[in-house]
Order: sequence, then C-alpha cells, then structure tokens
Amino acid sequence: MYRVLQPNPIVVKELRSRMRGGRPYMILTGYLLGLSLVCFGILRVFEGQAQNGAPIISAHVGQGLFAALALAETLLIVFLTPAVTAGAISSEREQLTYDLLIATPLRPSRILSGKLVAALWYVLLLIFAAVPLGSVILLFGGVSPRDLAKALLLLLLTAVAAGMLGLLCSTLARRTLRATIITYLLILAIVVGSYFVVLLRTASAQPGTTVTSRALAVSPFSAMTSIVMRGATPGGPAPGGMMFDGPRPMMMFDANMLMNMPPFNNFTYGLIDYNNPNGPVVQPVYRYAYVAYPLFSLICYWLASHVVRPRRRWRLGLIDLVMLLLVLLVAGVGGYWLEIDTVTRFLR
Amino acid sequence: MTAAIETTNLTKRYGRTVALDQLNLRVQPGTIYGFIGPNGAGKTTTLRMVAGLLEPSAGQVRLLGERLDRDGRTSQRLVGYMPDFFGVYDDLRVWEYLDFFARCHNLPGAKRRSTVEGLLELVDLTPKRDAFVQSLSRGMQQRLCLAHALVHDPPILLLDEPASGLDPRARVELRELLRTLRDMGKTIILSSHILSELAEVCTEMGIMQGGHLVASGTLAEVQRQLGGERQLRFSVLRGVEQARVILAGTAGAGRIDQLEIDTSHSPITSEPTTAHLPELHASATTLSVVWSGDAEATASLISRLVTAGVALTSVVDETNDLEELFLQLTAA
Repeated sequence: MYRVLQPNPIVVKELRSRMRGGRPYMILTGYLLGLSLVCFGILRVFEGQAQNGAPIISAHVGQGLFAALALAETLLIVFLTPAVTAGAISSEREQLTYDLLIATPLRPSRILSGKLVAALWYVLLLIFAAVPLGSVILLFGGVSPRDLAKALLLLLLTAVAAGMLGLLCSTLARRTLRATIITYLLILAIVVGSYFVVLLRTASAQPGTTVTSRALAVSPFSAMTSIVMRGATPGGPAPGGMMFDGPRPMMMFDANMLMNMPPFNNFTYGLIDYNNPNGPVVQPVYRYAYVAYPLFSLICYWLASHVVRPRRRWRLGLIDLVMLLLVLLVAGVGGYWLEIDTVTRFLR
Repeated sequence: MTAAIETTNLTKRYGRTVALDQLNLRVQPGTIYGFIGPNGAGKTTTLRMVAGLLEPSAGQVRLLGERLDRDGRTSQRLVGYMPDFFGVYDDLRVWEYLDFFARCHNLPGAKRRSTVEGLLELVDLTPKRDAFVQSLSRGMQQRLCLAHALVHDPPILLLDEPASGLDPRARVELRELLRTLRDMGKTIILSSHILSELAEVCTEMGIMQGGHLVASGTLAEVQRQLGGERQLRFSVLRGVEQARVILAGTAGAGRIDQLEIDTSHSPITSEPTTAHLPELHASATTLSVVWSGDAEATASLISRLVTAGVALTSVVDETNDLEELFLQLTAA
C-alpha cells in the first residue's frame, strides 16, 4: 500500500533538480515574452490599419490574435518539448548514473514514466502559463471558449506526442545530443514532409481542382490551423474545398489573410471520407490529430518501455498485453468517433 | 556455512570474446574479498553479473544461498553496488541524493530520514549535507556513492575500483570505512588493478587474468598458489664462498643464486655494471636463497654466518614478493 501512495522517486528528484538555477525561469520568461511580442505585433498591425481608415471589427482582432498565438505556441511547444525529454534517459547514461538507477528496485517502466511526468510538468507549466495571455482574445471576442479549449487540448496532445518521441529517441540513442538531433529531424520530417506531400499533390493535380491529402493529418500546424480557422470563417468552409482561397474583398490583415500565406494556404480545414455509408463527410483535421497523437504517444511509450530495460528487452509480458489493448481501444474509439468506415464496419 | 557469494561456472561472452570463463568463486560472510587484475581481466564483468546488471552467458550466481532471479530482484535486495565510473546528479544536494536512492528502495518517510542522516554520519559527510553534489571532491563523491549503496542496508557490498583516483589520505579513510563496514557484518567484494591498494585491507583475494581466476584465498594461500617463493637475500662483503657452504648445509634452505650487486635483481650472468657504483658497494655480492625456515631458524642462520666470519652488510627477508609475481603474471 505504501508503495502505491509513494510518489515516483524520479519525479521528486527531477522536480528538485530541474527547477534549480535560473535556466527554467529564463526559458519560461523568454517563452512568455515571445508570445507577448506576437500578440503585441498583431495588435499593432490592427491599430495601424484602423488608423488608415480600415473598418476593424473587434471579432477580427480576436480571431487574428487566436490564430497567431495558437500557431506560435504550437511552434514553441513542438520545439521545446523534445529539448526537455530527449535527455531523459540518455543523460543518465552519459552521467553514468544509469547503473546506479537500475541496481535499485525501481522498475524501468517507473523510471520512464517518472522521466516523462517530470518533463511534461515543465511543458505543462509553459502551456498553462500562457493561458492568461490567451484570455486576452476573449476581450475582443470572435472566438468561442469552445475553440480555445480545443486549441488547448490539441496543444497538450502535441506536447505529449513530441515529448514521447523525444523520450523514445532518448532511450535509443546513447548520447543526448544525438537523441535531440534525431528527435528534431523526425519532427521536421513529419511537419515539412507532410507539407511537401501536399505541395506535390497540388502541383500534380489538374488546375482548378482542389486536393486534400491525408498527409496533412499528422502535422500539428495543420491541425492547429483547422481549429483557428474554424473560428475565423463563420459558417464554415465548403465541404472538401480549400478554405482560404478565392479573392479577398479587401487587403486587410486578419486571420484569413494570415491563412492566405504559405504554408497555411495549403492547409485544409478537413479531409473527406468518401467511404462513409452516409455519403461523403468532411472531418476536421484536428479531429484526426486528437486520435492520431495519443495513438502515436502510446506506441512511442510502448517501444521505449522495452528499450529502456537493461536486459531481456523484447521479452513480452503482461504490460504488453495491457498496452496492446490500450492501443486497440484508442484506435477503435477514435476510429468510431471519426466515423472511419473500416472501423465502424468492424465494430458493427 | 552458506557462502555470501557463490558462483558456479559463471561465464560471460561478448560475441566470440570470452570476458569471463567459468568462474567458480566462494566468498564467506564477513570477508573483504579483493579482485586484482589488469584492465580487461573480467573484474567488472563479474561484479556486474553478481549485481544483477548483466546477464551471464552461462553458469549461475547464488547470494546467501539464494539463486539470482531473472529480473534482478534478489541482487537489488541483497547487494549494494558502486560502479567503477559513477556519475552524480548535478543540481542535487548531498542529502537529496541519498534521499532519492532511499526512495528508490521504498524506504518509508521517517526511516528514510534517519537512514540518510545515519549514512551521512557514517561516511563523514554530515558537514556537507546541504552542499551540491557536483561541488564535492572526488574522495567525498566516492564516499557519497558508497553511502548510496548502503541505503537499503544490504548484507553484500560490491565496490568496483573504489580506491581509484583517490589521494593517499582519502585512501586511508576508505580503508577505515571498509573495516567499519566489515565490523558491521557486511561481506565486501572490491576490485582493483593495483595490488598494494588491497593487500592491507582484504582478508582474501583473487587474482584475475584474461577472464580466469588464477588464484584465490588468503594472501599466503594466493602466494603459494602462484608459486611464489620466500627468499632471504644476504649482501656479503667478504666470505662469499664460506657463506655458500653454510647456506648449502642448512635445513630449510633451497636454491642459492649469486647476484653481483645488492641493488640489482639480475643474475650474475648478466653484464657487470659495477663500474658505475660507488666503491663501497662495488665488492658487495648478494646471495639469494630460497628459504622455508621460521623466524627462529632465520636468526640462527644469521648468527652462524657471522660467527663463521662472513661479513654481512644486510639481510632482507623477501616474503611479500606477491607484487612481483602479480606483475610477472599480468605481463605474460
């Protein structure tokens, strides 16, 4: 009973040492300062336009702020989280403390979960520290609290997924530097790679037709865009179409103008599921991300929990059965929620 | 009596390389056992397997009669392990470091606090309680690492190269600490590639070479197993022939070698180097005799030589020739 109530020693240790010194506070300050500057910049642009006589609707300001803040925060989280988790296990190996750790009764799975929780605590601190900044949006309106909550949830899922990827690389690589580089390269491959797939498909398509690619579903930026744009275009997009094309009536900076710039102009609000029994339906990209990211995180954690073992790495045990059931559960429930045809048919 | 540590045909292979070949070792409780051998002899491999950190390719380990289980639970409970190269966590205070490992061993709150304080006292780090771990000297870090291996009060301690990198004073302190721990009833296995580090503190030792245990036992036993001979060395100024006759006729004396100069170990056949030496030593001859007599017999032999008119300048009883044997062995 005592063991159950006992906090994970790794979490206690990590929180004690991680929050020491100026660095964590400097990162937090820099992060908030960066986001504040983004907000300030957006406000200045609107202010300048208002001074030039453009009719500025308060909702536009809110939407512009929301879009810029959400995407900037995604960018920061995607690139800060691996920096925090990629050293989790490899640094123990580098500092030659790994042997000391595995000679204790602490199970490798507990080492891993402790490391993840400790690293994510810090990232969560970053995300939640920015919430007051995000509340400025509500002053201007134009964005529903529901959309704010959606963006926050996506941000959290993105942080966990990026963190898990970093953790997996950390267990695989012997050196922290190598783990960090591999993590960033993989993230870049996911973000830039999916974008290039879309570009290639757009370029190879017949002129005038709109192309949507499922590759978009993996990029956190594309997923976040699909949330922030929902707020920006009242009434929603036409099914299956690119949202932000067509001539704009006025060259005015707002969220829509931001979305007309590359790479956002190639992002889409939703993907069309033609195989749906109820006829083609459009699924917003972020909904795919809500399912894909937890699934990705689970698989990364599953792999890492094997690699982290000092011996008999790939021997299967009860934990593998639990993980398999968990993966199937998330995939099944997620697939049903997304109304993916194969899943729904299987479940029926 | 159940051995504290018993290995049966313990073998570790890395691909085609055999790091440890069929080690059969028995260490009785309360022993300070020293593994001596050059780098790569298999000392660390052995310790890591006993600590449950490395899986043997063949053979088995028993700790206090219990066979090592597959997930390493037995060794985690019974063994305190200090690796040869260990790190310390930056940004952690000394007490927090020990507190962390106490938590890892599931020590409840009050017990954890008293253990941490007790261990700080034991390794003499109480004044450094709130210092950051990275600010400690090498010797202090070594003691802290030793303390971390003791948080769960294990009956067996495995210390890999505990004396490496320590200054002479820290070495003496370590030796004292090891004796204290033995008095507390712990069985200690330690390793070193330097014999003199261990000879004083170990009650038993094993000499390893190329993955084999070449000799094992008390100092005297190891010496005998290695074929080490006790020798008496007489520096004779005059009367060499007379001395030879007396030595040849004495019970307990064996082979006699004649060396040209008292400081040289080379036999007479080698090139004479006397020209470089001061005149006083120039004519001194060393007679070396393999000797098995006791102290009484040695005294009587010296007295007979002197009475017979042999001019002696010194007599050396070379009992501790182990270092030399060890060097010969490990050079081979």
